[in-house]
Amino acid sequence: MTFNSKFTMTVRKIFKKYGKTVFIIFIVWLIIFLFNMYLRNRPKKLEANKTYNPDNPVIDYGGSVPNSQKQSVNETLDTYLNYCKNKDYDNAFNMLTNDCKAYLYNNDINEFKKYASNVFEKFNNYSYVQNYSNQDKVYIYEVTILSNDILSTGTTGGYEKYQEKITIIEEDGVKKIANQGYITHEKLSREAEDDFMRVKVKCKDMSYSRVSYTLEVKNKTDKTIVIADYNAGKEVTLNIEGEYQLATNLAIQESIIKPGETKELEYIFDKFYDSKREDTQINFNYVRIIPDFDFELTLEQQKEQAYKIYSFNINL
Amino acid sequence: MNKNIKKILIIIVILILMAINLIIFINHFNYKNTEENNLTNQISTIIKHNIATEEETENSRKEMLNEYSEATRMKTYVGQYLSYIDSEKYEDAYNLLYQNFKNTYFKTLVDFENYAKEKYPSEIMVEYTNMNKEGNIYILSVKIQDPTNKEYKTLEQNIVIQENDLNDFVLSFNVE
Repeated sequence: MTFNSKFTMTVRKIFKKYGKTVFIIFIVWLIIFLFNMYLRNRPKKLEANKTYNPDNPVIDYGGSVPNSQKQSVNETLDTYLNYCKNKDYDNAFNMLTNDCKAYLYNNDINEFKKYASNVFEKFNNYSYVQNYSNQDKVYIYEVTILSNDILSTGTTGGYEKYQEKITIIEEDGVKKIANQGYITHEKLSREAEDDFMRVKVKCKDMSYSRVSYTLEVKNKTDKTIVIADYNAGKEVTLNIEGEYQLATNLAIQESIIKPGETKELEYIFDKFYDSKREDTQINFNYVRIIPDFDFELTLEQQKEQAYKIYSFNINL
Repeated sequence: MNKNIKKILIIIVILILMAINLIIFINHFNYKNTEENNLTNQISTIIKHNIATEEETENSRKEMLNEYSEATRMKTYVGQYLSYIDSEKYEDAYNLLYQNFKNTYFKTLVDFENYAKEKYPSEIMVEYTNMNKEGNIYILSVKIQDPTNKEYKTLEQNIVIQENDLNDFVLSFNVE
């Protein structure tokens, strides 16, 4: 038998025996091949891929703005910014949360107008927003406003930009605005007391990058209590789960309580709102009780004359 | 012998099928890569007229742009604008400008043509030095030089682009 006839016989045998299998494999391959061809050649949806997405948070600890909230959040932000750009400051002020009005503007619309005219009369052209961080139905956006419409000028003459964090937060079921980085207010009722003073923690106000505590301090003695006069280091700190933050406003606020006096004091600390760590204590690290206090006393003289020097902690 | 031939035949069939698939895959992959690389590597490029040829249909250009990254697309738009200047198609370049920008700086095509003839070199070589974004507006800083004329003082420009859709954009630049 020649090679050709042997080859033909073998091919016939193979097809007789494996014909069905080969046929099925071929059909399957053909289907996959045709489907692949279809996917390659079908009309593509042409859409410019862009990295700018205003609702995707820069910091994503708290996740994105939920789809169900995107429209109302953006509408609130747009409405507020349009009021400001159109110098309709009364309506813009009405969109602020009560806490924001009280903390930043003492509930005085004129204070808001002063801020708004400074910002929106200089930077009133092109603006854009970028979601920054979201925590428990609090949506923080960074708003950028440019000093001129750069597409119209081509940047001729340069341009400046102003940025601030604006928070959209629900108040009595309505979405409201907290501006200039401010976020929210929380009433507190912590107390700490010893033989010399009684401290009540009344509230805390949170901004995006700082937290402020308002305390009421009663001097129970007939001597002056110096909590902080910017003479000693680290006089007031906030303990954030073991990390100590120094109060940032000690230079502008003396914490000196006269005999028998009750005084309200505010301490501001650097802390990001979206930090997951809890505040555990406010520490008065260098309390001096001085019988005959004089503002001219140096730290050394205070030490010499002090009836007592100690530290005092308020648990939060 | 028969068994060997059977095995060989089956292997040949499988190899042919695999080879067909491989050729299709390689062709597709190379096509995508060469298109992207052509533009991403052009930090310094002499603008030639072939960036936007007349034969290119709107759709195929959109498909091409769709494959590009954001930065490459913006460079392509700048390239298109400068290629018009380079080939003295001032009206086409003028039509790419943002309307408010034209209203302020170049009320007529003649104004723009005079400016372009005065400021841009006869042969344009562009170097991209920076790229910024302000929301959905892009600012590309470029250095424009003339490789054929050493006397030409480098022109530094910010080109501001707003892309409305693929191949649908307007631009402006800082006027000096």
